[in-house]
Amino acid sequence: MTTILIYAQFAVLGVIFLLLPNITRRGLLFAVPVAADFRDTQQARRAIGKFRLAVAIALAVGLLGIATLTTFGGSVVMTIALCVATSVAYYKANRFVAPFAVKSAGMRSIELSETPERLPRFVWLAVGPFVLLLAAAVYLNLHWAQIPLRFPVHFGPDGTADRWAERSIKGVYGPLFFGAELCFWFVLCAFASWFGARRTSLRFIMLEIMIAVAFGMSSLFAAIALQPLLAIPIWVLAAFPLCLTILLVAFAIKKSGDPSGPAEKTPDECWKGGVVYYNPNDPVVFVERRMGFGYTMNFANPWSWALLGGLVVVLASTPLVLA
Amino acid sequence: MAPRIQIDPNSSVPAVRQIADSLRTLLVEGQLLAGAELPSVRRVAMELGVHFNTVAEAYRQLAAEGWLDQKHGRGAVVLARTAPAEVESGRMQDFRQRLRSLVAQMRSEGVSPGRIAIELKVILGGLEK
Repeated sequence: MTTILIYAQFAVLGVIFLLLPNITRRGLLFAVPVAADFRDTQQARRAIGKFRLAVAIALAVGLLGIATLTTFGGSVVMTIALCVATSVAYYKANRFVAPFAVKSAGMRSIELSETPERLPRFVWLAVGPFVLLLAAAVYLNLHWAQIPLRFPVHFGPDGTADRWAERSIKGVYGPLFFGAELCFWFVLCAFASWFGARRTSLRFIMLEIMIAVAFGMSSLFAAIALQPLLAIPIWVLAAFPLCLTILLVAFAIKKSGDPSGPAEKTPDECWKGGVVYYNPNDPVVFVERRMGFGYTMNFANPWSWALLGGLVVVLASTPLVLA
Repeated sequence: MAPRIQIDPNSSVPAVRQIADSLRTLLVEGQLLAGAELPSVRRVAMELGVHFNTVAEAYRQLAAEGWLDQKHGRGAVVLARTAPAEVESGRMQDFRQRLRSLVAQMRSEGVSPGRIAIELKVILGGLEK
């Protein structure tokens, strides 16, 4: 079952890459602002076709590679190769479409309304992931005696345990600490996207998505922590993030096709390769991305680096909190 | 519907002047009345995609003209302003020159004199309401 999941994860990643031209507004193609009807032209179809062919070849080679190498390291190498091949194909498609770009930045306006804007009511749900982790901690504490003295915490591609932890504070509560750290970072980003982005409908959607992702992560880490007690099959734990990713991509495709609301107006010259936004004159932390769906950071804003630094701190704490 | 200000990031006119001009138009036309609160410098800057200092400078200019009362760390409040009794002759000449330049630009872009006259009447009609 674990081997099937490795193939499935790789295949899902490949399918997401194949769908990249669809996970964006109609006014953008390969991060280039184009006329709304450009996608129906021969040039656009050619660019999409070439991109998809390159990704499909990389996907097929990757699947063959995983089957041949049969190690976990092999799947990691093939995943990196797929990402590199997709990036190259994307860049080539971006250059191909660039001559058909239309000037995207138009008039920018603000309504001088007196009514202050409040956070949506659903924002209270952001407490949920932490409550979930706390509940798991309480359950573990109440059933401490039933936790085995030594239990598996890492599994190889064939599903056999290859790393073990002892029944200690770090061993038992470690996944919960780490999950809480990650959730805190995600909730922080959710609030930063609310207060640090322009007032568009995307802000509501992103707040919903980020809180939902925090919920998903807390559920996963709670399940990992409870694994020694409940013996949840390892394939269930591995399949969970995969299902969450598929759901998020489906949601992104649905929302990208929604024509309501114009795309955020950002100067073309501030986009590096259509992916990185760097504008020292723009005070926002988050802007609508041109590749895919959602937000990206304004890398000229120090707060963006502070948020990324926070993620580095969270990831660097892994040896301290996980057994 | 609440009044709006807008800027063109591709324009050769500096953003600070576009914001000040846009706000001044709303103030002169009575779309922003005394006591009305303007959004904070931070919010305006974020929505228009310009630096905080650009918006702060536009607010400062209008405060110096007597239109706004700036509040530290917050937005600004529109003041009940009485127009200066007499415009200096030098200033009047400056206005005339700017009007001539604008009319010349409109003519060069194909707007007929009759159409320019209509536009001016519409603007003046709006001010007299």
